[in-house]
Amino acid sequence: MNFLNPAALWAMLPLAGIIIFLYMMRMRRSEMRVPAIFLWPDRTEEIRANAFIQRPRFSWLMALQLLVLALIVLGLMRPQQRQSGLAGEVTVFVLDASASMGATDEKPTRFDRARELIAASIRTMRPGERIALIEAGPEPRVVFPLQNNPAKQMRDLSAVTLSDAEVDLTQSLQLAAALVSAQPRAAIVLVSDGGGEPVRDFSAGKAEFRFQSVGNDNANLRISALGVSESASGRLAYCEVQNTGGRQLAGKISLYADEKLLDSDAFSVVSGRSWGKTLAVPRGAKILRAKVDAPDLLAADNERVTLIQPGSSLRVLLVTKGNLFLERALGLDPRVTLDRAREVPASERGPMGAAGGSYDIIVFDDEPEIPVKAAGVLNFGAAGSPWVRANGSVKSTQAGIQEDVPLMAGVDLDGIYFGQSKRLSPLKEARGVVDSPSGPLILSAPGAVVTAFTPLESDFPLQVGFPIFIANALDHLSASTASEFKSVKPGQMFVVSANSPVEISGPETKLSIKPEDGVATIRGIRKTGRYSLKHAGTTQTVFSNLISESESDITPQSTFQTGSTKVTAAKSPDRNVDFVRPIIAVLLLLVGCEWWLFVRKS
Amino acid sequence: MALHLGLESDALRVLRGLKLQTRQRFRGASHGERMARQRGVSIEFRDHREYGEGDDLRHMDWNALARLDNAVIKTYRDEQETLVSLWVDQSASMEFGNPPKVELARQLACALGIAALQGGDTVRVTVLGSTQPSATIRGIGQAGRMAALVTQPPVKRDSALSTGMKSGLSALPRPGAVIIVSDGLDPDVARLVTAIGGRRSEPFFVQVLAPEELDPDLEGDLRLVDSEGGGAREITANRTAVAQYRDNLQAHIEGISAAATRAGGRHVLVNSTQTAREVIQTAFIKQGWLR
Repeated sequence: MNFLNPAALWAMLPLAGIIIFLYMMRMRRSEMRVPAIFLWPDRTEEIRANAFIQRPRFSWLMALQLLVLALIVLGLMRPQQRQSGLAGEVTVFVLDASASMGATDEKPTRFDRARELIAASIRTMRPGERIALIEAGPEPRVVFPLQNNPAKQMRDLSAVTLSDAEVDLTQSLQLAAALVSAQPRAAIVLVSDGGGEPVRDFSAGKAEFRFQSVGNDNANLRISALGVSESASGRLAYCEVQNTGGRQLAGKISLYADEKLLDSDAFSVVSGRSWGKTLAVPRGAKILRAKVDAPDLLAADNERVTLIQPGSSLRVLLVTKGNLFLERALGLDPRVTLDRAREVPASERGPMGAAGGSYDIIVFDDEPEIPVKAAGVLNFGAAGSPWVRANGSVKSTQAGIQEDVPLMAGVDLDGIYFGQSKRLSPLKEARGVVDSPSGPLILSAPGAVVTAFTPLESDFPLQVGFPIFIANALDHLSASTASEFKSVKPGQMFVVSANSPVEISGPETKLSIKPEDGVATIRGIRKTGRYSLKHAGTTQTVFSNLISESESDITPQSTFQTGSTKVTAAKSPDRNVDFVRPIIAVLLLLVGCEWWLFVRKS
Repeated sequence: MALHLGLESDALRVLRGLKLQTRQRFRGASHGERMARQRGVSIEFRDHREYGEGDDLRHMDWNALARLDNAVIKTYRDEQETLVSLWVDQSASMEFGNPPKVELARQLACALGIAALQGGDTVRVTVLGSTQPSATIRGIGQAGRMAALVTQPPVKRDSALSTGMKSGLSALPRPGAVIIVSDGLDPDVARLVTAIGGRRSEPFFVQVLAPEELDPDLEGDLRLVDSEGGGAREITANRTAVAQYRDNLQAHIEGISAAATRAGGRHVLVNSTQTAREVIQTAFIKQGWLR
């Protein structure tokens, strides 16, 4: 047993002194004449005192009060008892199911170790205790709510699977906080390696937040870049392997074009550094695959596929003063290599399609559009767009009729608020695809998409449809929608135009998704690898690649930062349990005894 | 109601003709009406003995001489008076009760004194702790004097009962009956009652207690002051303390009663709310004190 607040012991001395002092005070007694006093017992059991002062005498009442005081002080010292298991009275476990949890430093994986810890807590759950589980996967999911049903909870826990996705723990932790917001003495326990994007917007409220770290090593290699560039001598593939671990690692990389081995090379790379290779790609090849064989701990980032076709790899320049939503949405697309700038560099300026440009697409975020060499332009706010004429602006508008075009597939603007938008008239070949009472909200043109609003002046970026719209816009601008191949990140949501159910099969996956309004929304790709999408007699191959620096850095964290709060990881799966209940029980018993004694003496 | 000879008239009527009944026979200082162990002059035959020179020829058994030709003298049981010491406790503790215990105690003392005088005994009145024993009083004609001595107000009241009883014991001239009318609220009383037996006297202990002494109704933190200068005691009067008091009182009463019985005497406990007539009828007569 240890104490959280041993300083409370100092309160014992003055308080005990006060009690003893009160008992040293003498009772001012009323005097009464009696025939004889020898028959009366010599019992001076004082329970009140109002005068000074007498020699201290033993009193059971005083002894009980000192005991009660000692127990209260003991309670204030917050005695803690070690118990196995992470759970307390009300506990929400947040199980990190991100890619880094697939590291094999814990056997068989960190994820399995995390499940074991939670299973142990469920097994040792006592009557009255309740446990909930949230899976922090690509989408937060309540596996089971607060309950005490060990058999069912064990079944549900064993059904939770690891993903190879990049996971933002914020939403899962917020969900956990919402689950226990009305529960006293609740705890949120994050079982994770602590990797991934930092959590900023989270408060556990009245609940206790604990972090149970899993993992003990960080040796890992990742394919940090794989692409194809055009050169005077033809197509060249480039590949880069990064060592994200803490020690030097050696391995072998194999490069395949359309599953035919191009080259295999041994390498060795020190901690924090990269190793690269370029080689010629056969003409007509469609798929380039790289595979690393090395004794590292995470396999999900050891293989990567890139598509060798127009639109399969996009270099995008975002011209903005700062827009996190837009950056994230663009970054979600595995085809995109994103750069940011406050203005268009001089080398990119010029007529559309002119040689010498470095970017496929340039996104103007509330910045005046200027002629650029890039083949595609996405203009938020329509400033300077040659495809529209602006006739002032309107406040507070909503979307009207939405055309059934691939650009808007899987995007629903119904009910979305646009704080301020331009009143636009389309020019030349531009046409509105989403209408509003004040004119078109979104227009498409050859090599251009123009919106009458800016993302930060609407709640569109908070909607599920926003990253889908960005992906559709990239498809539209790169003209890659009809590709037989697709590349996605694990956990990424994307849409497929279909009128019949879409069958998905791949690693640990076999799904059938019914389309709605001609669009099937795909969410079920959680692992890296090759997936097959079949619908209406056509087959599309989808490659899922883990492209995340934060997930590939598998260093187990000893602390977990949530905003300004830093939580230190528990060293063992044991927990300190407040030893308050037995103290309260004894306290009540003593108070009962004291009351009984008081009544007897009164 | 007016008192005559220290008693109400109905009590006096009940007393008429009753005499104090002692279990022992005592040698008296003068001829009386109570049979003595010694041979003496009375009409009650006791025994025969050989005639001796100087014997009174009026007691010669002439019939025996004629039949047996042997001169024998008839002897008779002597009739002597018994000394009855009447100790009346009028100490401060006897002022407790409503009416005060001392009022009933005086009446009962008068009643027993009158019964003793009616039986031809001599009575010596002692107000315990206050006065020396009175001169002996003989004959029912002196009952008024006896009653006046019993009801006289004490000189001082703060002396302990045991002190008065010790003085009375030392002033006993010869064995006899010792009637103590008191509340007996002194821890040494039982020992002193035994001492009366040790002086070959027969104790009659009439213990008068007030209802609030038999069943006290005290509560709270009190400082009890002894009415007879026995000091003070701080107590917390609660249920436990009162129960312990009752136990102590019961043991004390039983101690006095046992001491009186061992000494060949008697003990009776009287509630101070009773009348003298009730006590005479329900205690003294029923228990054979008076006959």
